[in-house]
Amino acid sequence: MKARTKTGRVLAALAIGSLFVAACGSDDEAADTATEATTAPAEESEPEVVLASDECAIPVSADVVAIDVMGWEFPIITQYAAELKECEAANYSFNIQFLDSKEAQNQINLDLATGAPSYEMVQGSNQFIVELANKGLLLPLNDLIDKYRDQFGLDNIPQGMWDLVTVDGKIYSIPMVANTQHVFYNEEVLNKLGIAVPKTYDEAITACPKLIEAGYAGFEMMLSADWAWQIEYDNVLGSLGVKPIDNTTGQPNFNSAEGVKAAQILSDIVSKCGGKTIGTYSTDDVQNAFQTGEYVLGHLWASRAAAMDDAEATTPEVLGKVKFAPALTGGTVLGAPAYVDGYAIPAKVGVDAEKVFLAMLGATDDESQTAAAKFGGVTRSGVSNPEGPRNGEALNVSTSKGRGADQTHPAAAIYRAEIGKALIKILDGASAADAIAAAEAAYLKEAKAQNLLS
Amino acid sequence: MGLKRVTQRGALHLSLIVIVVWSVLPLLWTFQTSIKFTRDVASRVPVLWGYDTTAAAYRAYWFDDQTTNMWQVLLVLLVSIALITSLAIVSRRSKRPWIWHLLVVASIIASLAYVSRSFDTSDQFRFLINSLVVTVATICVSIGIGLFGGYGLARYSGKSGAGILIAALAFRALPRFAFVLPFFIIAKYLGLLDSRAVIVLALVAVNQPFTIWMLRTFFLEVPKELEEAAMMDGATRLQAFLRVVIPTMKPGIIATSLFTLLLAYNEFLFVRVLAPTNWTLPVGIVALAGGESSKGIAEAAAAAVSITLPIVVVIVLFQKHLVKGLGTGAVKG
Amino acid sequence: MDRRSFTFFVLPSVSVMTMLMVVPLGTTIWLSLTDLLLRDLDNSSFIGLANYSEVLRDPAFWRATRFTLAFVAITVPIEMTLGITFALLLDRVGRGRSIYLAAILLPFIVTPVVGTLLFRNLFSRGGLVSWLIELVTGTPFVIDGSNVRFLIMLHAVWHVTPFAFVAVFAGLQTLPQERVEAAAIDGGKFREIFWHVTIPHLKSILFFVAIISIMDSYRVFDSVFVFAGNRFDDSHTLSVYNSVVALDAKIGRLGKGHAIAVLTVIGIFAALVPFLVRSYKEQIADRT
Repeated sequence: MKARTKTGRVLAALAIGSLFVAACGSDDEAADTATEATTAPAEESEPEVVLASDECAIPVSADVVAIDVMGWEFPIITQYAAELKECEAANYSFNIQFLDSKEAQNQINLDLATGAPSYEMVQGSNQFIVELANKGLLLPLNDLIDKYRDQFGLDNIPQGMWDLVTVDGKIYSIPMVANTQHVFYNEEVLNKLGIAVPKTYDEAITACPKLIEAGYAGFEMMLSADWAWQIEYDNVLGSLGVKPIDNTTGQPNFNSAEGVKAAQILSDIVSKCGGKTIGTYSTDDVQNAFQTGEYVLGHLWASRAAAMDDAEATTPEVLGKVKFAPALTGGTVLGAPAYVDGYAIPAKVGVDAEKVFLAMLGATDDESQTAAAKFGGVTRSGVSNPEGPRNGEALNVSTSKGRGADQTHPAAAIYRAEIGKALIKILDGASAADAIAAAEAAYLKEAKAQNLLS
Repeated sequence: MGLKRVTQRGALHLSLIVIVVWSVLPLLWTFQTSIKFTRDVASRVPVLWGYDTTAAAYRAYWFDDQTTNMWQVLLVLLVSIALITSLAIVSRRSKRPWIWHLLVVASIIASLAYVSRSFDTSDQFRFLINSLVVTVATICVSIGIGLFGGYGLARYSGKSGAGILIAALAFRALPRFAFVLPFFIIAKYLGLLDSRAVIVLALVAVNQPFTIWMLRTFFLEVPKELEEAAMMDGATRLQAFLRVVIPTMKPGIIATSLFTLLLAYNEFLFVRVLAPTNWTLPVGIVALAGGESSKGIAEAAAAAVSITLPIVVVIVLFQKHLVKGLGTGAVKG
Repeated sequence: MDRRSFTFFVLPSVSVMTMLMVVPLGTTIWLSLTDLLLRDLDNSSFIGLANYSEVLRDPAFWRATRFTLAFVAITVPIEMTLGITFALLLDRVGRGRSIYLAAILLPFIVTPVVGTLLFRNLFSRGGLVSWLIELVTGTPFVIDGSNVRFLIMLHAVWHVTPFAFVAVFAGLQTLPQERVEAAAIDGGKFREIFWHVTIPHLKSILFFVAIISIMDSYRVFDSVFVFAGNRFDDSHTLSVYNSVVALDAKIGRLGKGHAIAVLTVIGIFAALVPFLVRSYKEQIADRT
């Protein structure tokens, strides 16, 4: 009895000890070597630089570079993640994690705020990148961009796109995805029902009863989450010629006649074109609904256009029938945003920033963008893919004549949070005017509390 | 009279079956979903029978390589389970069961390592390992410390003992947020963020009150005379504790471990906030299925079944201990 | 046991709890008096009770408080009633007990986030229950502001009832059969036996279950976060509200978040203090 318990205790102690060791260590052994990489003096390029491969034409690193990436996923981003993984040939190791877009933003924000980020690279839209940059959480890349500009043809990317990820002259990302929202429609069904492709919000709302009567869904918009409401609201408001807040002072413009009108348009879409069920379709759900023919007219991300030609997921009757048109307008410009997505590097990144940047370059070079062009709009001029989506024209027109990018004022982040939260209550019956009033009150209170208004 | 009894029995079993259905329906439905093809999953009218089955959702969840042969995986699984079960059965008859228990642990580790090497496993597999490590470490540390604390509180009659117990109870009432934010900030300054160690520490801390209460109740059932006899034979209190008292505490240790297991395995918030890249399974599934991005309802369903199955097996195996543990712990608590 | 041995034995536990609970709590209280922002963790200034007055004037805080209290007040009695009912039913069964037990225990074992996702799927488009509801009512069932609270509470009842059930069932096992039979022979009907024999025996277990359930319901996070996180901020409990204020990327007010945490603690303690005092006195009485 004595010996058994004693050995038992010894073994238990060993077990605890070993588990502590296991628990304390990171399970990524590459991370240990990565710390070696950071502490070793940064070596300048040796006389003979070995490039990893054609897919990832960057120098092979002497030590393993372990990069944790966080972002949110949609088809073209999946491809870019694969492009990133190709750089493992350069002695990199990638751990790419995705979350729902809002959760990813919260997660990245939390991690970068610590000053000792676990992520070495983040992926996001210009809206998010600017928000992070405003908080000083991202590394400005100007020097690195200048250094590799010629080698990787960075001038190939239009200045307009660089501007979207630039704050105060500092560039924070390499744009790799060009995205917007525009009209998707099933040509065959619309022709059969004698409905013309709508150009204004009024025309869209008028078309709804006919569609619903014929057994289809009405004009749909992506309205299932608070941030989705914010984007669509900014679209409608922008198409009426109004920017949500003043870009210098941060004072709200949206509690005005146009602001309420924009909210009313969205409210009408909900009440006349689909009811509350509109709020249960996430972006993926909307895409699926178009692919199965349930939706025949609506507003969707340009990056989902390629899915309309996906023979596996699209019903045969629908395959090839979905066409694309520029976004709707409320009068002035088109209600379409200008988005770019890209990778960015945390300001206090824990490994050699240049090596991380090289991975970014490898994942966004001509070869990578050509592969990605199969899934959506890319940023390098002259890059295209024969298997790519057919919405090039709709994308270009919507972006160039659209309401532009999300605002960059530091208080804009708070505006976006509050407007989304307030407007989504329209799904539960709130009136447009009440929602706007509530949004303004909440916005002013929070922005003032954080000293962001001037 | 006979008929009345029969109808009474019938009604009894019927009500119990209704209760079982209510309890098990969500899981059954999810299991069904996890083995359907996408067209049946996405169907607006739920497909209840007659559908073709596939393991594609499980493959997508556990493996990066979509051509992985799921029959091979099943074979490996069955072999491991057979091995572990036979070791467990042998351990019951052995005079030194702890050897066999260690072999069980070793074979579990070996199976996981084998799967990890032979197949191209996905991130979720890494989360499984994290979950296992965190859970086992939490149990070991929690019980290790708690045994000492519970014993002390059971045997000491001074007022400070009562004070500690009540303070522990008060701690148990505190919301997670009273801890998670300061843990976040403290861990940041100590550079401990994103390690499994910090998760284990947080869970051990949060679990201590419950652990010492429960273990104390079990210790109270052990007669003082037991260790007093050993001490009269010349052993110190500590030796008596380790050699005489602890062996009688097996049921109590198992019961408390089960609750700790549930707490540690199911933890979501701490892992999300304190370990951005070292996720455990619960965080992994929310990444799959929460919010806008739906990697596919079927894959989320496969995830749900995969996450739930191990813990259900463990609890079912030890359910008698759980019942007894609650009975004892609740009576005196 | 003497005081020195006692100190030796409880030292690890108490140190763990002090370091990892008392210190963080102190940090929470201190930080709640600052204007700490998530985007600027290194700079903050002392602002006294400003966060508290802001929170107490925030209608979202009161909505969250009301919902949390309603949540506790509604779910705990239901859980206990159902738990007692299930336990009484199972107690009458001779064979097949462990199978029934395992099945009824299942909802408690399932990870809360997983369980919530399962529940949500049942009620979403294409889910079994939403389809059944549509058959009955004729209109498609949609999870919206009016029914999400009901769903959250339904899930809570589903998840926690097994805990009450198992505890009561365990307690029933220790109820001496002779007492029940004696009462039956004395002409007692089931209801009388129940109230005068069974319940008194279970008193301390019921109390235990009630306290634990109240504490845990008050703190609920996982399920509400998954159900209502992005979409229904009227149906946030205090913990989710806290999470949004403190950790939302676009807002990130840690100082205010800490204040909410402190207020939440004060809330539960206001209810618990009488019970804690009573327990302390009981403990002291037990020792003398």
